[in-house]
Amino acid sequence: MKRPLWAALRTTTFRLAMVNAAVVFALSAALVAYLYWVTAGQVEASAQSAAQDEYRTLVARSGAAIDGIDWLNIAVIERAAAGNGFLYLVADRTGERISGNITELPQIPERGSATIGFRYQVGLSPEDGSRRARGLVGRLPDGRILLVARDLGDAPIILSRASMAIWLGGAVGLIASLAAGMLLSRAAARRAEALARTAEAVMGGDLARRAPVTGAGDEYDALASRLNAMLDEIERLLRATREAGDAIAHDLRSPLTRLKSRLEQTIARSPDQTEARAALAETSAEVDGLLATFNEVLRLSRLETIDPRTFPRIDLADVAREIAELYGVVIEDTGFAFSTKIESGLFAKADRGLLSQALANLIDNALKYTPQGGRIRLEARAVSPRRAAIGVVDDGPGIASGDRARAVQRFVRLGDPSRSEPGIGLGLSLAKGVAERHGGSLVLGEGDASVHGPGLSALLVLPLAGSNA
Amino acid sequence: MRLLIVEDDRDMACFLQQALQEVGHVCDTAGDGDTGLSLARDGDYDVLIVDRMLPARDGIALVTDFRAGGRQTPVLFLSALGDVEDKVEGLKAGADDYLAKPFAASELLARVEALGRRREGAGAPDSPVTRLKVGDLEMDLLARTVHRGGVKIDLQPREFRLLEFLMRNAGQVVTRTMLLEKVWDYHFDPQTNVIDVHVSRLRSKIDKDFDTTLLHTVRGAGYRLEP
Repeated sequence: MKRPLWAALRTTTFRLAMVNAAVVFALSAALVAYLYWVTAGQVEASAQSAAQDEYRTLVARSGAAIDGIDWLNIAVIERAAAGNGFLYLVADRTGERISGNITELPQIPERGSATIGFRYQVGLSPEDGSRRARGLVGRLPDGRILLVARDLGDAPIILSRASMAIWLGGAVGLIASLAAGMLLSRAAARRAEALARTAEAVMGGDLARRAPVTGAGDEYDALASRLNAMLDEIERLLRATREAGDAIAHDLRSPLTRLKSRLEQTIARSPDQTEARAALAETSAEVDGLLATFNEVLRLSRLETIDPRTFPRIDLADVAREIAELYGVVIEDTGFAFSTKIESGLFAKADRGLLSQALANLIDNALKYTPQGGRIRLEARAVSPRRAAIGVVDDGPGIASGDRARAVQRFVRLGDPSRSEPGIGLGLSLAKGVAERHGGSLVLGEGDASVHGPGLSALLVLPLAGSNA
Repeated sequence: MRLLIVEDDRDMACFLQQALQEVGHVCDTAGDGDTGLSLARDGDYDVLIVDRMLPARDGIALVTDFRAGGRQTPVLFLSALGDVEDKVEGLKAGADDYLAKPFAASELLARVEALGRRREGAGAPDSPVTRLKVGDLEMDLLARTVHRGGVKIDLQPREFRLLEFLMRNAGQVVTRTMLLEKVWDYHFDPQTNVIDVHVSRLRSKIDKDFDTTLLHTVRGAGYRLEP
């Protein structure tokens, strides 16, 4: 899409360029004014005052003389001839030149005297040019006209050329900055437009769309990469939600279908009280299972939205001990050997509830998959100065290294799919999610080898918070 | 007990009312937060059952405003949001207990009973309880000892806390979830029968060598400690 030119006029960049041009222009004007004031202004003022003095001298003398009029004429001729730098002109009442060293009267005064600035011809031909002068012109009591002025020298010429150059420069600068502003603003507008286009595309449903990063490293790039990071996060959350939705739909469809057909059968057969009761009890149990699945999936999805920055600093050993205390008796009563290997002082920013739940899931898993009489151990120990592992080790069949990645996926239950073990295959996914929310990971490995197999170790490896954090 | 149910879902309100009336409670209902608040202020109820999300005035606002008036009536929050954070928010607003939907009727009844009982106890003079007694079972909270019929019973710290909770709620049904929440402070479904195992261990210590059973299992609901 080609942007119309006028659109560039409304951009911030263009406005800034305009403000800049205006400031430059105003400064030029101020400079001209200042130059004028320090050069021409001074010259004109002193020429004016000298001419006024000379005018008054002449008028005073002519008034004092007995034959004043003739005296004035003679004085003007004498003085003009002396070349004292003044310009003189005596004219009759109609303005016709009588004497003096300039040829023409620039202005005929009515009465009294007035200051005057004018140009006069130098030499005979117009090519010799004209010069500027300032002085006083006035009507004498007898009606004749006297003009006394002083040449302004070369200063006005230099000044006028300089100011012309500055005005011209200013005008060119203004046009240039207008053009530059337009170009700049179109370039900036294109970058902004690209960001806006990305936002529109995402709003339109294209979640994979990302803002272009040009590599210029400027603020637009910074903005674009932040925007992209935000979009990545949004996409990740949306994908998680969608996956959860798909998983729910997938996993709930078959039990719901069973449930519905059982209800329909019960209605159709119109059985006796006991039979109806039994069917209802079964249905109720099935609904419980559905609700449990639903809750687990929701919990897993909500996990994504928990802010880890709110986690307090706690000792992972306490979490492990409390869970061991809760589950130890159950594990032993179910016919397993239970032990713990817990190191104290494993401080980490963690949520007790989430970690406990993850550990409970790992224990549950071990109970399900380890054959009777097996050994189950709860561990919490430092694996490096900055990381701790907390989890469950058993001596059951374990998970082949090729299957481990799949084992933590949602709703995946390894082994015989028709097995009647309760559970919905979310245990390891939740443990993985909890580990990741804590900035760590779920590490599956071989546990304690036994006749049943290599065993399984399922450990949440979490960053420690240090002793002073 | 006289109860007020503030719940906008009519089927749910109906179900609650039926379940509570079946065991002899008297229930009023309100369909929105404003009505709920004015009823709660005017009536003398033993327990308020308030849904978290309500039209006109949500559950949190209702409880906050109700408590601002200095009323102490216990409040049970019901919510489809089952997260620990939501629970904490509800309890902060002044609710006394929190029940996530869906829940079993037995769970609701047990919690309402427990809240109502707390209100009765609140009327007593404010001296801290140091001894608990159920039948011939005695607990000294200061010395942290337990005797039954004069015979000392040794308990682990957690068993002591479990028994203390049961004794404080003697005569009432306490559910497994209540025990997990109040004794262990866990708010997730353990999926295995952990609580049953702990309770049966406790039972073997307090009941095994005696003629009468104090710790009863209530089928489909939980446990009850009763002489």
